[in-house]
Amino acid sequence: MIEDNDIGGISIYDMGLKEFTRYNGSIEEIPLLVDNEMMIVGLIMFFILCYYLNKNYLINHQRDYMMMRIVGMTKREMLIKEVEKGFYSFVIINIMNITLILLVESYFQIVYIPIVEFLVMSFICLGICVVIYMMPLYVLWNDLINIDNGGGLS
Amino acid sequence: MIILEGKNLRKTYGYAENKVDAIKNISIEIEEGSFVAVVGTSGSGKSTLLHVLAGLVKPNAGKVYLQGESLYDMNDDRLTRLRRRKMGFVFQFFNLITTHNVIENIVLLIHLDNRQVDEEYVDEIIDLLKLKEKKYAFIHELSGGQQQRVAIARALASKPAIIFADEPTGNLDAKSSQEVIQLLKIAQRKYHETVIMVTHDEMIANVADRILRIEDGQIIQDTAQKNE
Ligand SMILES: Nc1ncnc2c1ncn2[C@@H]1O[C@H](COP(=O)(O)OP(=O)(O)O)[C@@H](O)[C@H]1O
Ligand SMILES: [Mg+2]
Repeated sequence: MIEDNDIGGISIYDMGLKEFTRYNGSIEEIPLLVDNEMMIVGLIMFFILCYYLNKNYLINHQRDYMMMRIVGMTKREMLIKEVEKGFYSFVIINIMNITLILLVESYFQIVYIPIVEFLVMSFICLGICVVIYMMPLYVLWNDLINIDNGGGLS
Repeated sequence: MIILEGKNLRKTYGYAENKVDAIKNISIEIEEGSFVAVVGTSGSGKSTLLHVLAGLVKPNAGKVYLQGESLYDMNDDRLTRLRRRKMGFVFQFFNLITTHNVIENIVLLIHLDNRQVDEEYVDEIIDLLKLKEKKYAFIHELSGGQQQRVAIARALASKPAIIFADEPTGNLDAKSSQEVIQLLKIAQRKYHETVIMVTHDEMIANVADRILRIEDGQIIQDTAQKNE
């Protein structure tokens, strides 16, 4: 099945092969375009990007979080709110993930249920979502009034 | 009736040679429905006193009672819920939640507390504070004076027992300052709120029924005055 073909100068020759069942029942081997290392590098880059995006978000919103605490949001409520946000992003990312898989499968006309891949992806996603939305919670350990929020908001 | 009472309050910041006695053994009683101004030069401890009275900064010694309840003898969750039920806050800046629009900011405390919003009352406040056109505006679209009015609206909307204002006019021009002060006055007169306002501006302090003068962490003068 494999030819020594190049896609945009990248050889896919050495990358993984996977068996798939076509809609008509025939079994074929299709080369995977992404190997593990690329995936890991991609994820790390994604993670770093998320970290910086969230860091800016956090700095921009730190006063908001502090003000929420001052006017009367309890630590528990803030925790629940952030975990909720993480959970919703997790669900949305997973829905996008499934849609993408279905699109690719219908394009190649293959039937394949990627349980392991899906589980791995969702765990990574869950980890990222939780980390991202837990980060703002460090304000919970800050003093309510401090120099950072304008010398005591005064 | 005494609504808020501070007893032998002391607060120090920093350690060793950097140690600052921000307030030194202050005791104070606030009458329900009064308008109290706290005046003093910069660094005299006005803000610290306000923060301690409002349950935001735990004093090193002393007690604060709001309607008989000792603020610093309850856990953080209870104190936080007490703040949203019984206190309103107006600071010099950064009062508002920037990711929310005006009306969301105004009803923020009511929502946090899972209470029903009294639409009629909130509309009345919005009208009074001339925020009708800005109801759905975002915070960055507002002028400084408008932002302060939203903060006052938020403080009024939850019908607190007491409103704490720390230099509410510090960032405003003379005209907006007058407006904000008049609105705080209305909060007291019309809605029977107790207001404690910190300011370094003697002119502004003059609207109060009572002026507490602070110097170097101590109350040096406590004068009641008639106000019409
Ligand atoms: N978070 C803080 N950390 C260290 N020192 C502080 C802090 N807040 C206030 N101070 C010090 O306490 C004193 C009183 O400050 P403050 O209450 O803000 O005065 P005012 O509001 O009258 O200007 C000042 O000397 C100030 O430097
Ligand atoms: Mg101050």
